Amino acid sequence: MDTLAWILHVRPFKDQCLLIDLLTQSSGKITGVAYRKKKSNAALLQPFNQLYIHWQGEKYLKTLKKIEIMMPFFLKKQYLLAGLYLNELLVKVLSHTDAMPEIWTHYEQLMHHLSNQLSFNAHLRLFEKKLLAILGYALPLTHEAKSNTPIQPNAHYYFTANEGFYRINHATETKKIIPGWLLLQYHEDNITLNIEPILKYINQTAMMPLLGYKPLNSSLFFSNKTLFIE
Amino acid sequence: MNIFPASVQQLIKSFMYLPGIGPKSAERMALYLLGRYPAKGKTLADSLSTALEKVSYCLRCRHFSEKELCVICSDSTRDERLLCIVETASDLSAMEQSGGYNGYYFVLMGRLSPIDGVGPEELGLTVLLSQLASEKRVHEVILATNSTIEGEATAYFLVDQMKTLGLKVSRLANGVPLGSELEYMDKGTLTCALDQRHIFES
Ligand SMILES: [Zn+2]
Repeated sequence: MDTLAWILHVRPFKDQCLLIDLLTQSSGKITGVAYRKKKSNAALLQPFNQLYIHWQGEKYLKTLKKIEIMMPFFLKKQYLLAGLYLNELLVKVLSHTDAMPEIWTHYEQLMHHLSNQLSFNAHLRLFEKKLLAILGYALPLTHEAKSNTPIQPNAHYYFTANEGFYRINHATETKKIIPGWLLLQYHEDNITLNIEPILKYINQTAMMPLLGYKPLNSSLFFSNKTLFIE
Repeated sequence: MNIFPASVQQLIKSFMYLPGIGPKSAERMALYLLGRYPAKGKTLADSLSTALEKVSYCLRCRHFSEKELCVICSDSTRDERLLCIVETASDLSAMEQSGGYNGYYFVLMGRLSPIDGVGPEELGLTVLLSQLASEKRVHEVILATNSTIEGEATAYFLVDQMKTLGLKVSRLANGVPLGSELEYMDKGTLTCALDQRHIFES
């Protein structure tokens, strides 16, 4: 099978080999094995490179037969850390399933963004939102959980993963308070700087069930930085 | 049926712990020592168990050492204003062999890799940063982590942490290998070499 692919993660496998998680255009996420010893592979087999690959194998583990570079992406500074965050997210939430053309397209856009050192927070949040929807965990941003009442711009809500948003009736409730207008704005994909931190909270909470209730390591590592994660 | 006694089988298996050694090579090594050079075999066994028993890590730089401080850290003739951060002891050895460096080291014993669960704590960064902050001897930190994505991320992370300490932080340059031709270089390295070009004076 021939396809374009992004390298998400590379780790040593047995003595001579590398185990590589790839996001492919044709088949979604796959895991493949390549020989480490080939010198030409060292520079190619790095995350954020877009490759042209030929692979064989029906089962879980594919053998990478041919690898050519299409586009190298050089991420730097916080853009590199954001890229690592993105890759960890995809490695952990995607199962080996069918092609996900939407994910492919958005990932590519984000890579261009990060390599051009453009601001990325809003784009990361939109990516997470799309990812949640594709994986069957779409955020119900227009209606309340259970009652299905439309979200009111002037009301306040709290969020529970797997369920949705509930209206807060008493000022004493300790949950994180989210204004209704913010949810409606998020529904329109309109992410402004002032609401981005709350959207991050919503996305991270929503992703918890997918991540087995363990936060991503990259968000822990970079948590004391002001770069992109709280 | 295995034609070798149990102890020989075990020896062959043990040689297979070494990187790049498969069953064939392991068998050849075992038979070589047992059959032809038993004395060398004895030396090998002794030095391995002595090393395993005596060697641990230097308290300052995490390099291999038999004492609290390693050979490099106990050498007072080195330039104490320079600290070079490397991923592994093999990298330290490579730097030493380059002959161009006379400062001290810090060995991370790895590199930042979120997906694999390797964070600042595992790399001893807390220890390193508090050393740098309290001793104030180091003027320049040279980041010699590998030029891989994780090595690069580690370098960025370190720069950020060291900003507050007011240190000069430098990074090894990426470029054209000595004796190589541009035509055969990978695009990435060439781009880096161009980015990091330096003024060429007569
Ligand atoms: Zn030492």
